[in-house]
Amino acid sequence: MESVGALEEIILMILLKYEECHGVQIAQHHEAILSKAISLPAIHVVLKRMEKKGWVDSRFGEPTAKRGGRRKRLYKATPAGYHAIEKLQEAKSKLWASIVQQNFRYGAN
Amino acid sequence: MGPTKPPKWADWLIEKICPEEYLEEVQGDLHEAFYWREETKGLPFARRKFYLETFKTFRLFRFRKPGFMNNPFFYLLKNYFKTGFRFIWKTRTYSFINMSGLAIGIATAAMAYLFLADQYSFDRFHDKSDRLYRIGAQLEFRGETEKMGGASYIMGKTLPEEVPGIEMATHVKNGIALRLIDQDYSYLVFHYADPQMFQMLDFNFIKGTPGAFEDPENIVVSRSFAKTLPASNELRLLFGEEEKVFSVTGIYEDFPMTSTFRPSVIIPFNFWVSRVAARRTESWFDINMNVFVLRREGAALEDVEAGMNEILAANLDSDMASANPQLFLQPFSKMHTDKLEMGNGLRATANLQVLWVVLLVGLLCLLISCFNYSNFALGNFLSRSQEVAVRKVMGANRNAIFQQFLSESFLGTIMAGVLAFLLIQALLPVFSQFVGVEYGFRDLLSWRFGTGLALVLLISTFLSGLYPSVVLSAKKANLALKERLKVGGKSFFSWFLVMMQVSITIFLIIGMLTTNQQLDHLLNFDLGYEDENVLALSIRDTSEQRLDQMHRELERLAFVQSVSSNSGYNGTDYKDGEIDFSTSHLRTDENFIDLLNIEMVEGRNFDLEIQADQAGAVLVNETFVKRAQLNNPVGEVIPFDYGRLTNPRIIGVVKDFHYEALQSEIQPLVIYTAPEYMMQTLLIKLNPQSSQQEIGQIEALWRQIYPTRPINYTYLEESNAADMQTETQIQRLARSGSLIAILLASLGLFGMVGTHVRQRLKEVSIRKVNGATPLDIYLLFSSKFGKWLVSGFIIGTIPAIYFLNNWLNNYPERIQLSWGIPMLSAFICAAVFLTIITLLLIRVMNLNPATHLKDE
Repeated sequence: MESVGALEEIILMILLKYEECHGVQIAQHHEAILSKAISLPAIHVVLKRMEKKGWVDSRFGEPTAKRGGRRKRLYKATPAGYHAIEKLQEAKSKLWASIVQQNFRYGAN
Repeated sequence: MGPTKPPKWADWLIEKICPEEYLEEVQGDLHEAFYWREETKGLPFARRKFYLETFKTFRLFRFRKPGFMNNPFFYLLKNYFKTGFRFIWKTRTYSFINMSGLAIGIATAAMAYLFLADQYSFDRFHDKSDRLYRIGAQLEFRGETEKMGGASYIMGKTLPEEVPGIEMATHVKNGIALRLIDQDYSYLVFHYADPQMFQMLDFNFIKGTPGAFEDPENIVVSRSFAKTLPASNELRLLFGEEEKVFSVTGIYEDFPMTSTFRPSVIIPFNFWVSRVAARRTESWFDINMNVFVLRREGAALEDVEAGMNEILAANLDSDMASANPQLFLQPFSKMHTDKLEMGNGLRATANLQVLWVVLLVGLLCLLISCFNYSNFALGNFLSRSQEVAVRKVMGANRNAIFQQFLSESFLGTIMAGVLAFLLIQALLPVFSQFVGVEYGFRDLLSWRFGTGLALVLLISTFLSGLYPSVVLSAKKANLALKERLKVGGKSFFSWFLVMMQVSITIFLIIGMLTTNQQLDHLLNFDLGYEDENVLALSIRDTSEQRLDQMHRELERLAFVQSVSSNSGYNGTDYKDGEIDFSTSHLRTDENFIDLLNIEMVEGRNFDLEIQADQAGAVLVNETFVKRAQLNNPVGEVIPFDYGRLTNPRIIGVVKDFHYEALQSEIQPLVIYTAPEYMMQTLLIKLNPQSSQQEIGQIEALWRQIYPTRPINYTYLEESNAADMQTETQIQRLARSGSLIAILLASLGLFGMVGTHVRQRLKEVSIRKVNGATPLDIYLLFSSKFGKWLVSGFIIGTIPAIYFLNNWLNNYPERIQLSWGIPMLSAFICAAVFLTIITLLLIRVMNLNPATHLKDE
């Protein structure tokens, strides 16, 4: 299985949750969820990489005035993308659950 | 102000940075984000982010695929280089030695190229250099055609007006005057020129301008000369006794070293015209200056020359007709390399002989090292024939294999090229001394040298890689897989290359030994006079009284043996009925013969006591007697008329002596004491071991008698040796060339014999088991090598003897080529090569058969 980078994971989850997004939307969601800014080129680089791996798909959207008449590129997660992080997420949540319990106990002592 | 917009220049930058396929998306996103951030966090933040993210789009480059990288051939090439690198690394010691060899060859060839390119680039830096010429004149004289560089004043004035193909022209003449700096006089060589020159040649004025350049007192000088001027920017020169003050109106950048014409001071031509007799500006064949001509664009050179000759024919004096004078135009770019009889200050200083030797040595060394590399590559590539077979089985065609090995050889050449560059850098000072031209690191970075090195690399890639590639690509896959491999050593071609190397080496060694011997011969040649301890001073003063005084004062000095003056050697015609030849003549005094210890064959020397000697007596040399067909020369009256000297009587015959350089034949000579010519040279014979202090005494005396004349002296012996400069240069080139050659050939032989021996270890082991002695083994191998070495000797010797015989024919005094030199060369080669072979064979001779028979 190909390893999943931290940023790849976040962006993939954002795409899974919000269906179709373009770069700026991803940045906005990222900021809203993690309250942490992220640079656009970083997002672009990750998107290109994931597109090459087949985890996301893209198509051109409509042009807008704010973009100076340029078209958006809308990204969508693919089933392969979903499977790529599915197991990871399960494992993580399981691990997390145990940590929270243990910590709680230690803290109580 | 309109609504805020993303920063313009950053926007522009994205378009440059961002790969095109992503541009629309990325730029759009950045714009959108800009407005979003402006709304939420304010304009400065949005702007800052915009800048930052612009630069970060660099990261997208990683996803960019340039067109050529998608080409399958590119992947193939990458693979070739990768395999090549691995192989070089695997055999790194041997590869390094081999590449060093190639690097030496490349360095030699590249330096030769640097020198040649430099020599042939002379006088090409002018913008209009392809249309610039100087006028030359051609005369026929006793059936021989002489080409002279030069023209008369009136040619330079009339021709541009009358010949439509000439756009403009300028007179150029050099002059000499005395200049006083800090109480000391020195000679200054300057040039006269017309204002047109500044339009024809590339003058770069850094200060002032030449102006109209008509006023004889306003001159221009070069930047380096300007540094010697006083603050007043005045130049004071002494013409004869008369002082002239010039003011400098412009300073131009010095012409580059690759220029035949490098004026430091330019004076308007009017100045010269105003000071000479009218006849010198009116005579059509008073060729004593140069005329530069700018050909009109589109005019054919032949038409211009024909037009010039038409005008010459119309103006020519009848007494010149027998010489059939013709004018021609010498291109500027040829002035450095094409020698003319006379240059009027612009001489071709390139020595074609030296150029050829440099070219030959450079090419031969490159050839040897390429052969080495080829042999090495062949030997090693053959060990990879299984790899080739596998590639073929996988579907590689012949072409692909060929390309693979050629690109590997290219890789090796490039690496050798890098080594060569470092080597050149280290050797450049030595090389500069060799060829007598100053080169620096700067020259290595020029485009000219770059293309030269690239050319040499390309040539060596093909020379070294072509054959191995052809052999390997032609191999049948099934055979290569099946065959028990014989690696190198056995192939006829490899040994052929070794043989060629040996012959080149022999060629160069014979060349070296011959030039050595010829130079020794010339240096130790009996000149017919003694040049030891003779000081020669140039006089440059017209006063006979002062010269007499100088003689008297010098003779008083204890360490001076003898003093004599002479006019230098001039030439004239000698006609006696049917007999007609040109002869040299010399005005001197009665001390000349004794001072130089010239042998008298017949008759007597001049005698002060005999009044008639002054006006009516001459000495002649043996060649003169022969050419004038005199049976009983002494006492004979000859029709040698020169000024006041009419029908003089021969009072003695001197033995032929080499008064001119040894490279030319001895000409007839007449010696007289009649005061016809100005004395130009003062000869002083000193006691042996006279010191610098005594020379100082002579200098002091000179200053006292000629206060305005700078002293200028040489030892006759040294100036005679300086005549051998070309030969000395060739000798040094041949010497180092043959050293490099023998080094490279040894390297090649070492590799060749090494592989060969390694291949046959098993065979030798079996022979030893069967009772072969070490001597048997030695003979087995060396007889095989010997065959090729001997053929190499023969092939190298024949052209060497042919070429050197031709070269030696240039010299009237030459050595005879005997068998000694080829034998000695063969001996040197054989000694070196046999040592190498023996060193390698010792291992085989003493090997323990068990070691090599036990594997498998």
